[in-house]
Amino acid sequence: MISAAADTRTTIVAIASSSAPALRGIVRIAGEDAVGVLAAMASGFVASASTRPYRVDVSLELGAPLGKLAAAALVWPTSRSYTGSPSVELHTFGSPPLLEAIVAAAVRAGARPAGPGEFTMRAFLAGRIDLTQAEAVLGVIDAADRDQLDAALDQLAGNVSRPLRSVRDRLLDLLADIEAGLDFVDEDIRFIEDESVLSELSGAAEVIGEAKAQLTGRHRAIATVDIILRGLPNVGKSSLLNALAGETVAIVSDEAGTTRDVVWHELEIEGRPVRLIDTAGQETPRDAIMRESQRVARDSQRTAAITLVCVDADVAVGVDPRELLRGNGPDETADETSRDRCEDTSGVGTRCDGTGWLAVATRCDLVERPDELAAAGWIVTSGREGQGLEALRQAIAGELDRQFGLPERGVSATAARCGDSIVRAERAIGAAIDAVSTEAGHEWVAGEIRVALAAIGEETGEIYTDDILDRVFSRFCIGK
Amino acid sequence: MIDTTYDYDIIVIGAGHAGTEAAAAAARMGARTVLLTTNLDTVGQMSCNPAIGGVAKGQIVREVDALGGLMGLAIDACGIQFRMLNCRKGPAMHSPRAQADKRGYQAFIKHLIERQPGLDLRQETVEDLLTETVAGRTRVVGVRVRGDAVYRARSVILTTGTFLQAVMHTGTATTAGGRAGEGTTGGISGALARLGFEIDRFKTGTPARLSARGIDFASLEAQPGDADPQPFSFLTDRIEREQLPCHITYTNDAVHEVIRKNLHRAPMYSGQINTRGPRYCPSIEDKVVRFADKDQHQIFLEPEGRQTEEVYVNGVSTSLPRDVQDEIFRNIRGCERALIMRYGYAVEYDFCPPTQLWPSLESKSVEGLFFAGQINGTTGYEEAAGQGLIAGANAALKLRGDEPFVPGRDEAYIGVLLDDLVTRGTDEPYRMFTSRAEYRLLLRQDNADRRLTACGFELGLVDADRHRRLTDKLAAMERARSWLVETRVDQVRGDVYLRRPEVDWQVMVGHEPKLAEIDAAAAQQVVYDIKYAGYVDRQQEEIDRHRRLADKRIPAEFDYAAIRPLRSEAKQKLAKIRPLTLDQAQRISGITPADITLVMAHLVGGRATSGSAGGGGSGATNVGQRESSAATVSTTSPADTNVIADEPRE
Repeated sequence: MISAAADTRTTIVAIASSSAPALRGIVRIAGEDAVGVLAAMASGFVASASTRPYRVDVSLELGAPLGKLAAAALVWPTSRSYTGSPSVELHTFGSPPLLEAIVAAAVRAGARPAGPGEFTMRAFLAGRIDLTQAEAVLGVIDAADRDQLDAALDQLAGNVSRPLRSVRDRLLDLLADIEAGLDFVDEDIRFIEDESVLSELSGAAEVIGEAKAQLTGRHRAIATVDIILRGLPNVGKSSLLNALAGETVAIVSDEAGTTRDVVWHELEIEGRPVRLIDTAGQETPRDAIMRESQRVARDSQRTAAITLVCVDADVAVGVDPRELLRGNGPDETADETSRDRCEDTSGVGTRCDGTGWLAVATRCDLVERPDELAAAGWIVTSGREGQGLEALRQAIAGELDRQFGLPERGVSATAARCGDSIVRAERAIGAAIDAVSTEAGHEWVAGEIRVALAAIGEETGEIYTDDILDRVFSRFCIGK
Repeated sequence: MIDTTYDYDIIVIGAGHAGTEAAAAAARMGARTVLLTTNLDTVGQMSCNPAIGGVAKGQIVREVDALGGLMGLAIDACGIQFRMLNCRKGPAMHSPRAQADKRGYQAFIKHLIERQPGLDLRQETVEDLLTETVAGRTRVVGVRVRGDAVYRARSVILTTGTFLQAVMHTGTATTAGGRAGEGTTGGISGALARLGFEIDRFKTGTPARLSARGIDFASLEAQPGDADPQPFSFLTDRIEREQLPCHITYTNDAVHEVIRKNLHRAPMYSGQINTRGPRYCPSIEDKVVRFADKDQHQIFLEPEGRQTEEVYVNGVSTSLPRDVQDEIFRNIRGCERALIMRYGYAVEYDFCPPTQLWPSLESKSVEGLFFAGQINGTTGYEEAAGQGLIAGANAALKLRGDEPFVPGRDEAYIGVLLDDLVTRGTDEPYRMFTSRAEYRLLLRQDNADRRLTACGFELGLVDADRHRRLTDKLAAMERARSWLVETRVDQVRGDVYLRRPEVDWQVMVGHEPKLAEIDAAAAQQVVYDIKYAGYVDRQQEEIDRHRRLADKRIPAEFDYAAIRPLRSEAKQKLAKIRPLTLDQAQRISGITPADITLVMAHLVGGRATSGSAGGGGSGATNVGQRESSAATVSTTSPADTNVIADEPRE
């Protein structure tokens, strides 16, 4: 990130919209030659002489086989832009391959692909946004649901740092009063009474506490990942789901094919929010409703990070779990599972799209030698007996770690930092209150208030420490 | 005309609190030093308040003493009333203050200077600074004095106080001069202007002195000294001389009315003075105007010595005309019949904004020229002494080709002072406060020796005797600690037991009689170390956080202009201050975290170092960075010297 900070002139380009398919897509170009890059990409484009931002329809030359593409270009011709340098935004259809082609065209025209967080870093360096806002940019983009989006927007609007700023102001005032009392002992002035110090500190503690609750609440707002349970009807997927979730969610019956729609439950596995999705059992569609049900199930599977391939334990005996994913199942999903590749024999595998699968033997309370299954690479479970659930949780957590790294992403970057600075501020204010209560002397109170101020300042970006910046910017997604 | 020429290593101009410490420090370190003063009878003079120390200032005196300075010894010998201020607060706030016998203090300092080996004290009026410019770099080579004589030296330390272009005001009457009855030093102002120094102007004031003969002390509240007076110097074991009381009186409505009626005659309000004075030391007319709701202001009547009836009236600094001053005192209880022996006055004077200096107090633009004291925009004897000692030490270190001595903000109030001055400059006469020191819980008056003496000994500032006192103390502390650890009280280890608020040293001595052998100063350190370990650890955490930035150095010739995205305001400020570390850079006012990130990024990237190489080599060093330029530059022979000098004055 340091090297990116050193270079704020080179023109960079990245997709600025979500990586998921969407109606609209945005490619952002920023740097001294942003307009030149646009001119090189767009036939017939003539830069306006205006120094104010303008909008122009352009035709982008994407080369064979794509040819020309119509797009709307928003142009900030001067440094008065979000990033503090000339910038261009290209708005077009939200097709990922198309957007990637635009980026490639921009690179051919002289831009460099942006590094992670580079746009936001430039905006920060240009003084356009403070640190909490910088992080919030990512939060908005990555928001997985309405709550996360609201939280991120709130943060972007400064609604988290604002109360902290005002508390900082008040603490500075309080500190000034206390300091005056310490330094001007020979004046016959009583600068501040303990009572006022206490009430000010309590007020500050309250605001800091609220900010902490807000921000650490968001720490949990990690994008929820989907885990899908697949398998033949009546193999016990619903029982497994219920066992993992700890409550009855799916309708469980002995009649095969009870689960006719996607049933899910949100829960935490090793501190990670996951959505566990039960699907209609895999079987040949008997009727239209079944077909529809299974289509939804397959759609879920496409977005799932992990697929739990569930097989009845007594069927699983003697079966290599990898076989199941090679398309030997008795259903029409072979075309999909055949893409899977097994990379090890532990019952955990990686598919070519980077998602993973776990081979789970269910209802092992009904077989004699579950340990043989385990040896063959199955994760041996019983929804009814609660057996093997811990091992399954661990396996899921391990696979999620592999795919996503440690659970700190998005808006939670703020939370991770707050975990440090807000807690330090809170602790310092608490210590200051103690110091007043125990009549330890105002110099100790002042010392603690200073620590709190420094900590709050880190949060609102008013005090500089390098490690905070490093952490913030290393977590940014490209183009945000 | 043939000049008489004298050769020295270091010349110190001005023999006030900065100059005497500077000269003595340089001489202690082995530099052949001459101290030039316009008047041998005002060496170490207390121009204003006859007192040393106070909150934060007392800590500085202890630091100066821990580094072998003069001030602590002088006040211990000449104090007439000692008080430890802020005694009811924790040890970090304890601040020694003492009233001085003003004449005695001066004589004592002068005698110390006279006896200092390697130091010559001479009465001279400096008319000009001599410099030479070689390859675009200007360095000082000596001074010209009145009477066709030249002093040559490798370094010159300017400690001219309030005497540059000084004007005194009492009402509408103005007199040229830096102190009542004395002149001004014009030649140096001219030289500084010629050398391109930025010069600014401050004002300060001093109150009237009354004759004790007419003061009715019996009607006033007496303020005695402490029953157990604490010395300033780590070399002084105890203060045994009889102490004199101060007295307290107050202004009142009648006084305020007199002042309000005559405001138009006060130079500060009539527009006669429009320079900035210290907010924390307002004149009485300021107090009456700005704090109109207060119906009285406290006044301390402080004796100026044992052999004088002069009394300093602390709290009524004023530049009102004589008749108004007379009328004011006729209305103050206890002073109704007192004669004003000297009227109060305000003084306006030139100073050189200290952002033109490296932290070593050497000028960035003229090599070998050091500045210390009020010329740097500070106020106070203690602040002056601290700077003087640092300037003297660094001039001597430069001769040796050694790195300068610049204590950090976490090591000394003097470090805070240096850093504040050169990094932020000052908008008003700079005075030290404990609140300026973010690590004040560590910078206590009682541990100044532990913080600084060993370092001073290494540099040659501190003699073996003083150093032995420190090592003895440290050894006693070690013994005490091991005895405490071996002691069990209520099944608790002695050092742990001592942490309890109600347990003090005497209690521990009761449990372990051996501890009675430990001398009181060492015992106090052990107690503080144990009782305040938690707070100290917390400050240490904060220090460590900052140290990481302090360790990131910026080369002196770093070219900020090459960082294109850097805001132009930031470029200007950084190029002017030329901070030595990122930590210093971030303290420059108006520098944002984003600016620092950019600078850091370019430091890491190794870019932006292509600028003019000649500009910043000199003095661009800090503790831990080697100074190499001194040895080479000084080889220029006098014949090559292009002396820039004004014609001698009429």
